[in-house]
Formats: sequence, C-alpha cells, structure tokens
Amino acid sequence: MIKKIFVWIGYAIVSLFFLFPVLWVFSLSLKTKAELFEYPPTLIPKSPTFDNFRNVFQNTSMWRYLFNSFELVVFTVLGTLLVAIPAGYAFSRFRFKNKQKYLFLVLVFQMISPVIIGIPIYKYYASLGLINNYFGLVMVYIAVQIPFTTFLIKGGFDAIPKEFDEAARIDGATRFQLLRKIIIPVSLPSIASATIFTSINAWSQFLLPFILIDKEKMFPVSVGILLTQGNYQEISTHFVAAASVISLVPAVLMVIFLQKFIIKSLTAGALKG
Amino acid sequence: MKSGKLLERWWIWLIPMVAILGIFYLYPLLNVFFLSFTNSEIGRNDFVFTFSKYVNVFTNDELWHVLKVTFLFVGFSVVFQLILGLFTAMLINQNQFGATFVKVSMISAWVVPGIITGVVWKIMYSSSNWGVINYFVKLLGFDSIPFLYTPGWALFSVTLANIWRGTGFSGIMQYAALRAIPEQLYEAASIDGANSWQKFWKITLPQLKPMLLINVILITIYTFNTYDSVYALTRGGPGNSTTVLSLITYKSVFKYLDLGTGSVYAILMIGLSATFTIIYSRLMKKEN
Repeated sequence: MIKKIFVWIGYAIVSLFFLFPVLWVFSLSLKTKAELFEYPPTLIPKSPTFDNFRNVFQNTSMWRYLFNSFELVVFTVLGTLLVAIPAGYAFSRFRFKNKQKYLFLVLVFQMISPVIIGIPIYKYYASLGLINNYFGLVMVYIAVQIPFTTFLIKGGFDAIPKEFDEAARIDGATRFQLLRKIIIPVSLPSIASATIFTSINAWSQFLLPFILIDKEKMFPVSVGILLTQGNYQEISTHFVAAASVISLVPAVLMVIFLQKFIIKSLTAGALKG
Repeated sequence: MKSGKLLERWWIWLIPMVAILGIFYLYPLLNVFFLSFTNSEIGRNDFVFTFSKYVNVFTNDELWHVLKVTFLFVGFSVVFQLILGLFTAMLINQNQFGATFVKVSMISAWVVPGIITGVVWKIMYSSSNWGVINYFVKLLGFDSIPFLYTPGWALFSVTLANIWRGTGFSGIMQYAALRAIPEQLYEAASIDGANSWQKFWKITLPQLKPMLLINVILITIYTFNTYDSVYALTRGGPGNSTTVLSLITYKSVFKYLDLGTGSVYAILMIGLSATFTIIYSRLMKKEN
C-alpha cells in the first residue's frame, strides 16, 4: 500500500510537469485583462470568459490559418501514403540486391533537418515562381515525411504472413490486386498510425512554410501564431494564450483519442528502425 | 497483362519515392555542397567559386561559440530526457490506476508543435505577473529571474523547455522496453533474495541498455535538428547566446542572405547527422 501511494505521488508529479504549461496557457486564455495583471496569479480563473478567443478570431486570420494547416495536412497525408505504400510494399515483399543498403539510405534522409534542404529549395522555388504555392510546399512536406512513413508501413506489411500472398497469387491475382484487396485492408492499423504521425508532423511544420510562404493569408497555424505573438503587445498575453490554445488543441485531442495507437506505433517503429 | 508484368519488377514500386527523395533531398544536398564552395547570396545571380566561406567559418570564433551552445543544449537535453524518461517509464510500468493519464500527458507535451512550445514557455518565463515560474521563484524568496534576457539563463531556459517537450517521447520508448523484460528474471532474482535496488542495477538497466543507446541517438538527432522552439523563445538571443547550429544555418541564409556561409554550416550539420546515423545503424544491426 505504501508503495502504491508513492507511485501515485509520482504520477501526480509527472502529469503535473507535463500538463502544467498547457493548463497555464489555458487558464490565461480564459482570464480577463484585469485578472491577467493580478498578483498572485491563480490557476483557476475567477470569472472565466471566452472573450479572448472571440478577439483572436476577430482580429487575426486564425480561421484562415487553421484552414490552411488543415488543407496542408490533408494533402500531405494523401501524398505521403501514395508514395510510401508502394515503397513499403517493395521493401516488404520483393527480394533484391542491396535492399538493406537502400533502406539505410532512406533512413539517412530522415536524419537530415529540413533547415538544410530548405536552403536550396528556397532558391529553386524563388526562380521557379513557386514561393507562395501550396503544391510546391506540400511536395516538400511529403518528402520530409516519406522516410519515417515508409518504415512504418513496411513494418505493417512485414507482419502479414507471406502465405497470404501465395494463396492469392495462385488464384491469379496480380500484385496490384493483391496489394489493394489483401495487404492494404489487413494492414490498416499501420496505415492509420502513418496517417496520425504524418498529420501531427505536418501540423507542427514550421520552417518550411516560414521560408516558402510570405503571403499572410497563406500562413499555416505555426507561422500565424508567431505573427500573432509579434503583433499583440506584451499586455495582450491573454490573447496570445488563447491563440496558443487554439493551435495546440487539434494535436492534443488526437492524442487523447488515439493514445493506444500512438504508443504502439511509436515503439514498434523505433524497435524495428 | 503488360502492366501485370511490369509490376513484377521491384523498382517500379519505388519510382515515386526515388523521384521525390531525389528532387527534394538528394539534389538539394548536392546543391548545398556546391553552394558551400561559392560566394552566392540570396537575390544575386552571379557568384565565383571560392574556399573562403569555409575558411571564414572555421577561423571565426562564432563557430566555436555556436558549437558550444549546441553541445550544451543537446547534451543537457539528452541527459535529462533520458533520466526523466526512465523515471517516468518505471512509474507507468507499475501499472497503477492513473498510468494511462500519465501516458496521455506525456505524449501531449510531445505533440505540441515546437513553435507553440516556445510561445507557451515564453509566457511562463515572463517577469510580468503572469510569468508563473517567476511567481514560484519569488515564493521561494528569490528575486525574479530574467529567464530569457541574460545569456546564461536564456540557454538554461530553452534547454528546459526542450526537455519538457522531449521527455514524453523518451519515456514512452523506455516504457516499451521495460515491458519487454521477461518477468521471470525478476522472479528468479526475488528467490535469490535480491532487493529492488539490486534488481534495478542487475536486471533492469542491463536489459534496457540497447533501448537506452537507441534512444540517446534518436534524441540527439531530434534535439540537434530543433530550431522552432528556440526561435519562438529567444530568436537565438540575447546576442548569440542561444543560437544553435540549425539556427545559425537559418540565420546566415535568411537573415544575412549569405548562401555560401549558410551552406558551410549546413554541411557541418550533415556531417554531424551522418555520424549519429551511422552509430544508430550500427546499434540497430547489433540488436537484430
């Protein structure tokens, strides 16, 4: 019993450590300006109000940013799956020379920061007129996502016994039919986790839109919030807090609902490389 | 029928991936390499080939300063994410009521976009009344701390925010590894009369070692590539005190418009990332 109590105290400390910053901005986002300046500050707002959220939606392009991020996420997920599924299939089901080396090469790309590829890409895009172009931006997002997603999907495909394939092949199915009718449906969980991770990453992506987009109406949330932080004065921290809450809610909701999934695929991905 | 035949070839399936990685990774990488030997600038088309950017970067004190900052930022982040991650992993592995809640809170911190992490912590570090950390500092009887405004404190502050963000990931990984340790090992040790402390040092840690090593490399790479939370917190300042390697790379190109120098820094980043990756793959091979 004593051990249990210690564990619970540990749970309380750890959760508080992780949740406190989020709770604190949430609390600020519900405070009035007068209460913002009160000392000592309290975690529970005395007269909670949604006015700050209203202000953010009225005075910044927050709706626009959210919609832009959403659009970028959707196209990135679709594009990434379209590329990573066939690649994962090839790595899972074909035997060919130097396969391990190619896989390693894909892994190497994952380790390279977008800052590095952002430099030349900015240069080409500027000369090709692709600055402020979502197609161009999504292509880079997809490229950034491909390595991890390919590994994740290959892992899912590897878990399907090869006998499935053989049975279907004897029945005369082409590889394409096999993939569409058997492999993809059976490995939907790994495709779902690929979707989750790609969405979270695309939502967080900052540097690429920061350098490749300079039209304010086209900013995703990550860049928009920086602008919001800069435009509001220090004394409007309650508005910045509201804007932060708006931009972190989608990711946090995803975690709450898909917690099991995320943990499982995080660990599976890491263990298999 | 023809297309059926074509689909029997493995490389057909890889074409989309190779095309995209080729255009958006390989070609840019070669280009960065090329640019690092030029004096190119943003907004100017002519350039000459030169080694001078390398010479400038390597003879300038700025590089050593940036490497020191990067080393401290990455080093402290990795050590604390690892230790705190192990601690939380062992706690949730007790599987008491509430463990799921702890897991959710850990991953929540991890999925908060880096930029928002920076914005949120900047609010908490403030010296104004809403700066909750300074509220606690004052409660303990100290003067309010200029968390983001003196070089030493600023580096501490960006590192702490990064530890907060990354510990969840590290903890979840180690939790998975803990669960994979066979229960029999502990039972056998209990029969031999080992206490919890001995079990931790003789069973848990050795069994966990492979995952800890993998974790070290992964966290090192992630932290090394981090720029967004630092950017939102301090923009690399005051002065250059929180300018890590990825930030100076960004600044050289997009603030000072110096493509050549930025590319030299980028090459340096590639070299370091490559080293980490090779270590990582060696560890993976050993595991399999």
